Amino acid sequence: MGTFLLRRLMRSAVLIVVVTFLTYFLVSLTPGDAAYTLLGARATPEQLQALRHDMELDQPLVEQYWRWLSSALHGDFGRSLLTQQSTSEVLSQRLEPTVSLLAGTVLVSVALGCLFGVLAAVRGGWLGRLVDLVGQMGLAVPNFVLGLILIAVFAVNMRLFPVSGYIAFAEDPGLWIRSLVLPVCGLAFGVIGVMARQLKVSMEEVMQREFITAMRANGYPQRSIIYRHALRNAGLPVVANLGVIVVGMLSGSVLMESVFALPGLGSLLVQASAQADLPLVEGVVVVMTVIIVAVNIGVDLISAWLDPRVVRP
Amino acid sequence: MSAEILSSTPDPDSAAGQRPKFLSKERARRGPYRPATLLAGAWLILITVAAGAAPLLAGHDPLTQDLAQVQVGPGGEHLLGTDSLGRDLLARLLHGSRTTLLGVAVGVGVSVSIGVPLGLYAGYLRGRVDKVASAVAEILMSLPGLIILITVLAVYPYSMIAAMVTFGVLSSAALFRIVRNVTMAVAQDLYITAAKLAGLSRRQILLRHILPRIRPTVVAQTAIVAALALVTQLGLGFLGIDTRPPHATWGGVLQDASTVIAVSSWTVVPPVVVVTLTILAFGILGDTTTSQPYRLTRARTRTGRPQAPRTTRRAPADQLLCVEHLTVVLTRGGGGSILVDDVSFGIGRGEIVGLVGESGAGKSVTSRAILGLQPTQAKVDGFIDFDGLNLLDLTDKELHHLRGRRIALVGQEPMVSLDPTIRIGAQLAEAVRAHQKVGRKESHRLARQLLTDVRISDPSAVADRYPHEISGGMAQRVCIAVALAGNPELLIADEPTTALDVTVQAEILDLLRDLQRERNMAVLLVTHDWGVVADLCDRAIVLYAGQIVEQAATERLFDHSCHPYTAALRAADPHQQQPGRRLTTIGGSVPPPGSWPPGCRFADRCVSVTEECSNAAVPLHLVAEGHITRCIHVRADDKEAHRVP
Amino acid sequence: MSRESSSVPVLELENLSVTYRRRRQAPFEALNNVHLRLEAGETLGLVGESGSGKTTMGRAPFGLVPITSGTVRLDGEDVTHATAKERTRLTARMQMVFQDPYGSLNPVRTIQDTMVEPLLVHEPGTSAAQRAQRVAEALDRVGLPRRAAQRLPREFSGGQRQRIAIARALMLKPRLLVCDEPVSALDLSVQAQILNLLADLRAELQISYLFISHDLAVVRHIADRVMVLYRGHVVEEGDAAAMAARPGHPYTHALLSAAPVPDPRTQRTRRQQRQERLTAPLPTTTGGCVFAPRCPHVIDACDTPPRLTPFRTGGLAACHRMEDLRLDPPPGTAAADHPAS
Repeated sequence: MGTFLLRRLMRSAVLIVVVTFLTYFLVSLTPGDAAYTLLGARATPEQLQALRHDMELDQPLVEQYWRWLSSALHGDFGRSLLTQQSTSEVLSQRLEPTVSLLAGTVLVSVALGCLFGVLAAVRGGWLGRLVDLVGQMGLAVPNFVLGLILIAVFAVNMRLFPVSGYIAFAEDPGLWIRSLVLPVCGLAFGVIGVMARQLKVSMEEVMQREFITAMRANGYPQRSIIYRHALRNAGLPVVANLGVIVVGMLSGSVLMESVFALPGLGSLLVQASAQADLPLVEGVVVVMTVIIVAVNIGVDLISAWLDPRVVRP
Repeated sequence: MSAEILSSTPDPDSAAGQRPKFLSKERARRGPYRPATLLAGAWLILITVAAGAAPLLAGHDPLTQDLAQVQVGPGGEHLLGTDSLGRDLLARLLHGSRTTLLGVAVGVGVSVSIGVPLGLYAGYLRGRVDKVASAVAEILMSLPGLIILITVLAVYPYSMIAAMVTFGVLSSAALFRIVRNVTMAVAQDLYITAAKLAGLSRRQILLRHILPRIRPTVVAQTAIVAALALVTQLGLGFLGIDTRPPHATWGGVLQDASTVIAVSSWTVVPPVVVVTLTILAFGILGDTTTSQPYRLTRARTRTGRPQAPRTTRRAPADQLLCVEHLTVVLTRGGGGSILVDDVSFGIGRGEIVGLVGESGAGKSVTSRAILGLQPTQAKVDGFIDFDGLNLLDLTDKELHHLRGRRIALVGQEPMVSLDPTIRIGAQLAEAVRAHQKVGRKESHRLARQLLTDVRISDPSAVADRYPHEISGGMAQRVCIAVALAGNPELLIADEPTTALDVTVQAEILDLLRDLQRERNMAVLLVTHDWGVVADLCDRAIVLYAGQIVEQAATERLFDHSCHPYTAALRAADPHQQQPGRRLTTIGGSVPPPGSWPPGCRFADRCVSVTEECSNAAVPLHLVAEGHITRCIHVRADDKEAHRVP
Repeated sequence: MSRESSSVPVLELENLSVTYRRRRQAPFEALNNVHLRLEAGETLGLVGESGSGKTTMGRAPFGLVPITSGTVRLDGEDVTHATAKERTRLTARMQMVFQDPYGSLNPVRTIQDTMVEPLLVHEPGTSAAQRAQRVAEALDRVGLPRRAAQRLPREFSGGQRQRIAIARALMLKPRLLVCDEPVSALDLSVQAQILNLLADLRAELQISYLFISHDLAVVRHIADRVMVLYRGHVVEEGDAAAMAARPGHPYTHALLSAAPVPDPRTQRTRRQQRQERLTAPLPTTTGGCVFAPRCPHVIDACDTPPRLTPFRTGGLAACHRMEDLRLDPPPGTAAADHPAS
């Protein structure tokens, strides 16, 4: 178990380095570098040159990246080029809405996805067909379109929830939840469909296996067969896929934040990349990659807990 | 975006390690297309043609603003109305589809041309390429796609092509992984080895054997990549960063509609409908899952037949189980054929009865019908009297109460008969708790006792292991322990030693005999092996093509095989023969259910066949005390009864 | 049985060892220093339980297993490290029939498509008509109707598929046919048909068989000589009938006594005689005799590995006690015990 986790962590570190370097490389290609952004179009070439030298932008890319990486390891992500705010500070302000949105979506979609998946597999019939339909529709309606529809119906027409904006948890937990309901629904709908459908197919396959027949024949309680044995086995591929689902969710959250005007990491990224604010872009990418890494390690731990064959001593 | 659907196919590398379902034999055949697939294809062709002919069809310029007519509804001059700047919506959608579909084509093209060849190569040849490509794919799959695309668009502003090429590279990882896994699964098939041994080169094997098998998967996954490409592009359009502003794309149309959604909800309808239908169409083409609903409850039995009087049937007092006129028929949905035809037999308390036959004879179906575990689409008729209860009249709940407690089952393949994710001790303890009111701790103690009962020398160590950590013989002992947990009066053992090595088989047979004696348990032993019958059974029933053809006490059956089938089958057993001599054979093969001849079902293969054999169904008749057979050529007390040479 | 020491054997394995490397596990030694000599027209039976290495041995001549040391010779030619190109040429001289008749034919290709493959490679000049003719003849040979060529595998029963697999293997008239459990997946009545077919083909085409099976009775029926494998080691080798009459190795004896015979009375005595129960297999061996952990006759000498040495019945056995043990075969083992009618 220890070596398994260690290997996982090593791989995660590699992932973070690769991703941040790629981003660094990409943003460095932006026409008009940071010096240009700071001084504006009227600056003379000499002024630009001087600032570039000050900011060490004239050094090789790999060196710049290395410097960034070593200070990032010490918790210093640099300052925003435009506002001169500390990147870590900006990120910490923007983290809460995104994490709230993601956590809410994961919670809702795992709970409802499992519920519908199991019910559809066990009961079949119209519920099964409904899950199939929602599974496909959930993907066919892009989540930001669904967000728009939710706003039109529940915020504009019925006035049940705010049209947009975010209230921090510390400010008012009730309003915090209200501000999250629609974005979470919009983001979770497709995921619920996908998960329910996947679990249904997986459950149906597991229910045909010999060990389920053996348990039924030998009088194991019906409930235990379905919820303890079949679900556990059927959940394996679904859990394994959770990492990919969260990666997809992260992309979806960028759009959701834009639709609902949530001041999260996604909207920060859109804004920062438009302004070529490299330290901010890097910061967002690091945080998002860390989220993905954390989720993947969590998924691995759950898989290992569900299935003893995953970890070989 | 919703990259998750890409991985909805199981991964052969995953712990569960099952073979992907889409490779199963049924899927190999190309069936008729579903109507949904045809519709989806038609829609995609339609929008592609419309995009190509956009200037001809549109009627309006997509960029001309008419601020006098903003957000007008459908009909009139503007067929679908206008947007917030008074531009014709139909024209914008039609022209927009050109850019959007081009983007999808670029994304899919890049993705397929990287993912498929690399996947094929890595899956078939493995080696270093596979290791490196898999590692890269894993990293790519962990990248937040949209975030990378936004960064790319910051570098190449409004370059939809750059964005979609990037998308193609990112999504090729998932495509690569699926193609690789499917190829790997196919490459392990025996016929690939056979082709290699025929001398075929790698190229020939790839082209002749692997590509045709993985083509359906590639097509389906490509459709899914297309759906993802479209969704991704819409997202970029919605953020307004995919193309320079007045230019139309579907995403842009959606974004424009969203700004005025509170005022005019019509504008959003046409783009949403078009977008949804298109993604749906891709999704349908990419959907390869087949639903096989599995019912936990039994299909209603004895349909279309008046309730027979229940009271008249009472088994003789010494009989524990009395099966009469048992018939199992697949419903029309399941093929409509008869699996078991009018089978009657009894088992006394503490008696071991063998059910012998070849594959397709109906022996497994018969034995499992007793437990109410017939195939999902089967209908069961007749009477199964167990100690005064007609099992076919019981509700599921009543039947469930009997399972394990009075009748238990040991299956053929011990390694797959245990839940792979739970420790042996816990599984066994759960069986104990299902039948006895004991606490958790006590149930674990009893579980270890059961392991001792099945002659496992170190029960505590075995209890702590998982099923994959023990040998096949050990697993079969555990399965027997599970079956014994409820102290059943009847044990159904369905080919309990077939999957085991011969020395292990001997140990399991000894164990079964010892346990049967200790507990005075009746055993119904399903087998195809005459040696096992001779070793264990008091009485044997021979099944052929769903019918009983002969039944007698074991010694009598071995000494006086009456039915030509029994005799021929025993003669075909090499154990009985002089080595080196030609084996006696039975011509042809067992007719599968649904193609049974009307008269004697063995007539086609029988050496003593006469014309009368095929005239009418042959009834069972008594040859001697306790010995019945189904052959018109055998008379009672026939001294000329077939003997094994 | 044609055994002339002067002739060049069809297949010869010398000091062959095969080790599978496994991910994150200790390597698995499937074969340990085995020798095999198969003469022209001879049938050698390979018997053992799962994990004994019998399938590995059957696959070694084809280069399908990782050979760590030793030599494989086909008709005297060293093919241990043959290149891919040479292997293609060799496939005309040796072929294989597999256990699973369902897996060994591509489900989406017709029988004809599958059967012409060897011709495409080895006789590329043949016309389509000639190839069809060859397929038809091959189908005749195994007793299948010619129209079978146009069908898909799923239209055939297990026995019929096995006939097709045999027909394919014989398309190029190989000198050696490796049969890896060819009848284990078949019903009893069909199994006898296939065994007879193999015997007929051997007589007709003068092929050598390496016949692999877990079932001693099946092997004894078809093989001239039998080799018993246990955990990658050859423990006994010799004439089939002689081995049944007087096994030299306790493991052979255990195999003979374990299989139940189809005769209730004989089986009863066999069961009673099987006093020396085998103990449960232990996971590791200490470097001595591989069978020692399960052997009821184990002595101190068994700590050193025994060599395969001649035994008085003419066979070879690897046991320190083979001369002093009296391993009488259980009743019903030799067919002579049965009253022949």
